[in-house]
Amino acid sequence: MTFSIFDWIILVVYLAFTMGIGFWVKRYVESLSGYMVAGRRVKTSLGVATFAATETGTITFMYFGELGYVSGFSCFMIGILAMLAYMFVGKTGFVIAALRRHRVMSIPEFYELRYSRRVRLLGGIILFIGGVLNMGIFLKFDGIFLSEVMGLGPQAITLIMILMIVVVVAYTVLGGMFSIIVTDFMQFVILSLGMLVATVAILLKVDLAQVSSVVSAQYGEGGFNPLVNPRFGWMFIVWILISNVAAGALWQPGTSKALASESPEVAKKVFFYTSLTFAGRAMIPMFWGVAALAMLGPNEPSTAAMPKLLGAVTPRGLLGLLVAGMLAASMSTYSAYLLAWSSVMTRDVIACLRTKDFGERTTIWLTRIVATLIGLFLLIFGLWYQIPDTAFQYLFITGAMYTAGALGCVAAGIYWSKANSMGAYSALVMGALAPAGFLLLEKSRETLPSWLAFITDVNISGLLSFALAFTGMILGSLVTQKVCPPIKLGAEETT
Amino acid sequence: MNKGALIWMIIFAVSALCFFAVAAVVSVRGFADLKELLRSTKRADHGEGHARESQDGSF
Repeated sequence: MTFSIFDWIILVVYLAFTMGIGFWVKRYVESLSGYMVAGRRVKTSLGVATFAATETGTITFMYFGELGYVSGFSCFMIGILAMLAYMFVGKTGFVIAALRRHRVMSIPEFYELRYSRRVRLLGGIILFIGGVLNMGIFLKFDGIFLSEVMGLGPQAITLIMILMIVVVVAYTVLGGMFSIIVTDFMQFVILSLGMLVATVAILLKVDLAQVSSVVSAQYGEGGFNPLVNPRFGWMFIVWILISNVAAGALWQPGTSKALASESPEVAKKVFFYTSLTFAGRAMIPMFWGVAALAMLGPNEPSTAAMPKLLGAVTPRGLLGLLVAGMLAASMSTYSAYLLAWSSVMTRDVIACLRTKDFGERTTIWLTRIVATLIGLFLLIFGLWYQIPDTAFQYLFITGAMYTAGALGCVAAGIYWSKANSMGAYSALVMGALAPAGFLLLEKSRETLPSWLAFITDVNISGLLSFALAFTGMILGSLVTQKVCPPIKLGAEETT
Repeated sequence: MNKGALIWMIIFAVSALCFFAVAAVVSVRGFADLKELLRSTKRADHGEGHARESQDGSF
């Protein structure tokens, strides 16, 4: 075990403090908008900190670290793509400014404003499935990370998973977005410190010339040039760029930070300033992964190599801060995701099946129950499911299941007057087809007929999902203009 | 050091610095925002408090 008494004290104090704050903030939750979007009173700096914390979990470090380990420096371009995509959304206000002006609390709510209640229901179901599947591997990876860094061994993974989900479900369920905003802020400070500690510890131990030569020996030119690396190439770059724009504008946990902002202008600023952290958010753990390749060699399990290195190079005493930082990162991500998906299930699926809306109190209680059930699902799914290929690709393909259709529906709904509900149905269904095909067929790759084998290429499936969703929106809308006339959006709010 | 590695290390250094610089700024200014958020929420709740007296407390 690499953890000292001092490390344990830091960790326990941090956890107790976070739980205490999470419960204390419950007193501020007085209404549905307070619970879901923190009363829409979040300013720029707080928005940036909580947005960055939501988008940075231990899973982020794990999948980026794994990519660094299995592909060398060439994966660093993913950080640049993410930064450019979020910068574009922040600078132009693409989608987010309009969503904030319409004062929606979730993306499917916009579907009802622009299309119909049934589109909202379908969009809510696809978003919920894609979102929960996407989140399904978080716990497992966090368990691997913490057990490796703390030197507890694989037998501790299940216990760590249970403890983490209990803590996060407890304060998310009680405090909603207020708890998330307050704890996210604290967690962002702690996780930034943890990242700094880990990066400095690695830089002090690693020989950069050795890193360069090991990457060169292991991956050749592909270790430095993403265009010749067999994992990447042009198709991957285009997919990830579009995917990041879609995720930036329409991934409910992140977008909810824009919806919680005090005005559309603040929402744009939050996205722009957060984009400046996105290259570092990706490249810092990728560098840890590349360093693990150089220092531990290429024969370690790809998911465990980076945390193993961190456990080995971080001095005792600082290890507690690092683990607290990583736990902080995870808890802020879980809480935002849990609230996002449970509110989608409650407000956009269950409520849409009824003719009469639930009251605010019932909605909040239902959201709490769904959040608890999602927590239980995450535990079971995390213990059982074996991910295909790398975690990064799994996360982007499950994300594409929803974001492809959503980008078609929302972008067309805002910027194209001919978009109608038939186009929206087509975009949502066709956008989900390729990723669902990948997830279902990937395990039986060898038995597939050759004409269907393309679907098990994650890059093709990912890019195809966006192409199909856009085709579905355009063709579906144009063909049915007379039978299904488009609905105009109501007046936008200015704050 | 390989030329490709050198270029990526420079990009990495700039990106990491940018991350930690933004983190430092929003940590300081975000704390003020957080205090303001809690204060304004409390004020709003007090304003609405009388109207809610017939209801049973918080959720």
